[in-house]
Amino acid sequence: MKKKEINIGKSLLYIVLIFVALATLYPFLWMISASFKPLKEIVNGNMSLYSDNMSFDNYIYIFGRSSLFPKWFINSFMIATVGTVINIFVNTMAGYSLSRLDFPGKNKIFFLLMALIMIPGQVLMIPNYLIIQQLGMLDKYSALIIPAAANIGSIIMMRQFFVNFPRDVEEAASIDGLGRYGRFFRICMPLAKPIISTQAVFIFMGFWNEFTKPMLYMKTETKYTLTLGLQTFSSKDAGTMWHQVMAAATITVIPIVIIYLIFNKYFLVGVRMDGEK
Amino acid sequence: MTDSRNKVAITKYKYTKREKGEHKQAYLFLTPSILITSIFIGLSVLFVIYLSFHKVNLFAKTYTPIGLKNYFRAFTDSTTRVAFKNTLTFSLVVVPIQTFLALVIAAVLNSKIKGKMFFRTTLFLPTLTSSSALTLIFMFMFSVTGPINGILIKMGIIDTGINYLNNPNFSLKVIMGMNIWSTIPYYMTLYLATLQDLPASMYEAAEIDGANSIKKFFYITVPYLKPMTTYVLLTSIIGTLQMFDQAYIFSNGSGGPANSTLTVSLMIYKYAFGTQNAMGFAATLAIMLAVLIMILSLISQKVNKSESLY
Amino acid sequence: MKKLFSMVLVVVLALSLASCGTKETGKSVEEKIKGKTLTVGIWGGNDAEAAALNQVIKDFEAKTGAKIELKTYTDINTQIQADFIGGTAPDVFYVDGSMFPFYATLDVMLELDAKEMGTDAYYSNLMDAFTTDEGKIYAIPKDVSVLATYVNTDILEEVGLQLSDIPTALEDMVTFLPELQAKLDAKYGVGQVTAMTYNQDLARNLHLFERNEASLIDENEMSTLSSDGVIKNLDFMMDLVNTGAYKTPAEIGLGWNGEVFGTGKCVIMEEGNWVYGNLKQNYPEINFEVIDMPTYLGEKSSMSFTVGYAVYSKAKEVALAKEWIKYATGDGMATWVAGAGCLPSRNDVATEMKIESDPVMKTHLAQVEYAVPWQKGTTISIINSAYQNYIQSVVSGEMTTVEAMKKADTQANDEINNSK
Repeated sequence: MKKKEINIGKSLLYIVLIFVALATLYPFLWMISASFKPLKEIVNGNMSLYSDNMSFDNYIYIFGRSSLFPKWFINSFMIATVGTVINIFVNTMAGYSLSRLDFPGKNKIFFLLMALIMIPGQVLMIPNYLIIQQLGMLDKYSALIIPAAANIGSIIMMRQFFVNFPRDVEEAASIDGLGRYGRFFRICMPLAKPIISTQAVFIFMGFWNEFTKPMLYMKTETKYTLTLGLQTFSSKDAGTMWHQVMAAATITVIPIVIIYLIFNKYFLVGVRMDGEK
Repeated sequence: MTDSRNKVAITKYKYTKREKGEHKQAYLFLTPSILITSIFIGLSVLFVIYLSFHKVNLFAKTYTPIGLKNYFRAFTDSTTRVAFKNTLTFSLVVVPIQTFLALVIAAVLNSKIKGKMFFRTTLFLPTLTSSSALTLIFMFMFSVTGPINGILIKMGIIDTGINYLNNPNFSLKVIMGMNIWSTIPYYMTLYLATLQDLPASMYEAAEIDGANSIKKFFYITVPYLKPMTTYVLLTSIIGTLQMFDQAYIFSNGSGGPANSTLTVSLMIYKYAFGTQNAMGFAATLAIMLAVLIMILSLISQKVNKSESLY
Repeated sequence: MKKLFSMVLVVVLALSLASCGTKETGKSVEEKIKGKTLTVGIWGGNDAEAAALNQVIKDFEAKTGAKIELKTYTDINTQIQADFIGGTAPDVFYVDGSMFPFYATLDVMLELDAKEMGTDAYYSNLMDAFTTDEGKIYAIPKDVSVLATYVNTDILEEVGLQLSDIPTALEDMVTFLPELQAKLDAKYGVGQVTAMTYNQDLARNLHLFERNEASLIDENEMSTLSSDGVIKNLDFMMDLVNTGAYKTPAEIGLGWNGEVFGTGKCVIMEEGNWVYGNLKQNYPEINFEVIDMPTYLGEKSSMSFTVGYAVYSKAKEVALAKEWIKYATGDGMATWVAGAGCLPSRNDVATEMKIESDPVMKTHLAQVEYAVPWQKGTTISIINSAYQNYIQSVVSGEMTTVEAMKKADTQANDEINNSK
């Protein structure tokens, strides 16, 4: 009797899960499908994923539109990769210090960091622009990497993660003769892989999708990032060219999906080795 | 206040070598992030605070001190009040739903179900879909001739299609739905990553005591995730109170219809980049919003009863 | 030591000044600009626009030996403000007619000489759009777009009507549109095809709302949407809306007029010439004719949208900048407008290009001289946003025009006051 109830519960759970999965998957698939459709069909409000008029035209158009396309792609990739690697270390170190170490001024530093992310970005655009200009960083890749080399949100996330981090692991390592720096780099960081991978994917996405900064800071077309370069295609007057926008969005999203799939396997690897995996 | 008293005590106390080593490590680890954030965010924030007390023309580089005039105006301006009300409503609805659903889905996906990987990947996809594509899809779904109206008409709930996007009673709700739907995966992923470290033995012990899934969720999963919930609440509060993109796209920048989608960030943008040189007023609104964020996040920490953030 | 140093300094300065002097004087403009590079700030366009501009640049470079570098703005409003504040704007940049009054208050544009730039050649109402009240010229119109009435002739025929049945006066539309709608509903089913679409942007309605001496702003540029004159004109527009045969694209579930028209969901729309190329390319099976905008209160009227070239006040290459503008708005204009699908801002180019030969472009161009250029002081963006914010409540019947426009006025004027 009880077994049956569980089965009903379980099947209900699966039905809900599948429904939720479809609801989330659909827009993503629709975006990809729309990228193969002509504008007329998208505008018609057709919600179906298939059409008889599908073609590679939109992609041919985008790739043919600018010879700089591969260059933009490489720019975005390099900036995002370098930026993510730096971020992982900077944020994890800061988050670790703010949760596991004791030192004078700890709370003040934390409070100040928090206060900084509460000011909305719209009002910071001009001051940031002036700072970048004063530092001579306009039109340089460094303008996109260095100011974003630390991410306060991720620092707080890492801090919250390390609060729960099992202390016995670290203590065992210190008995084995590892110093404080060795403990952090050789024990804590590898064991925090799931959260660091999560952080890496989000940071990478942040760099990859960043639009405002390259828009304001980069002046030379060869130095544009992919998101910015794709924007130069949109026309001012004649409505949105949804078919091209969707193709551009699909092109933009593919690298992130690949990165996600690479890191995905780490998401499920925990610190504890005693649980079922 | 307690901090300054502690300081007096601290200066008298002699640190051990071990403690000094720990201080050194902490400062060393924090140096890069503090340097970067103070130069690239801190300075700008100070500048914004300065601007809020001035009548500013950044083009001519003139700053006329006007004291608290901007603040006084902001407090008495009826449109500002509407914007703060909308923003606050948006946040108060979205944050709890977002957090709770993310928690539940994470817990479900962490349990012994089949196809974990499939569900995890699918549920993460909205985060990857471009925001313009997402907004467009939502606008299609909620348009007069869209599928939502289609379903409601078929079910006999309404007779003719509702123009959700142009109707002040619905427009903000549509944006709420879109925001919840598109950000849950982000928080769910975080929870899932954290749950990987939850010792399975805790669940096993609870099972022996006869706890069912719901009990396990409330007595083990939720408390274990509290520190991460602190973070999720904080980001969610900041994200919702600073909501800009979706309101901008939906209302074409006007905040309409009838100011129903006017958010504080949208207003800040309009003042900062409008044709009236109103950077000073924009700065004032930004600081007021920051204070509101601070208050809300303090309250949320009280509700979450987690270790104190501040 | 100190003395020696200052002496050296004086000599060096004198020499450098002298050399500068000899370099500059006696050289023709052609020699001065050869080999120099000019940055030009533009916003992106479609394929055809990009190709046309590149052609103009190529021709100019071949002719002068100078080099043009483009800076494409994706969100010009945000970006160019940052550029002005940072002093990093390009030597020459596009100025939208509606933004001109704002830019003119910022001292970011170099004053241009009427004679030197040959301003007589341009349509005078477009030239006025880039001239301040004090008579200072800060930009030269590079092109113009004008609204016209587009009619789907296939649908019209299907319901047994002809192009000549469409009234030429907007007042007559009040009776004509519901009749047309009834025929459409009978033929295609209720709600399938709308008689006419419109746009709630003031940029499309300014010419109607300011008719009969009405004005959207007072002498201090404060909003006067609820003034009697404006309300009268707005009430007329509401007569059209209340027929139920005059709808916005959003009410039909689409983004803009061109999409509605292109998908055959409306018979009549008022659009600018930019929609022409778009229809031909994306909706080739739609057959349409283009006619003049209907008259209102017995007068012809339409809206025009012009964009000009301005020289940055801190431009490094002023001589070259002026040469480029002269070329792009002179010899190069035909290449640009033909490719980009807009209209020339001067009559001689229009004649030379034989715009007459294309009936659609001809209709658009014919209205340019009486069309109202979209521009209204520095506060219009605030007023426009307040208007769009509240007009919806009038359409839905929640408020009367006066109530809604009073609210819009209050909101706009509060915003203007907050900025002071």
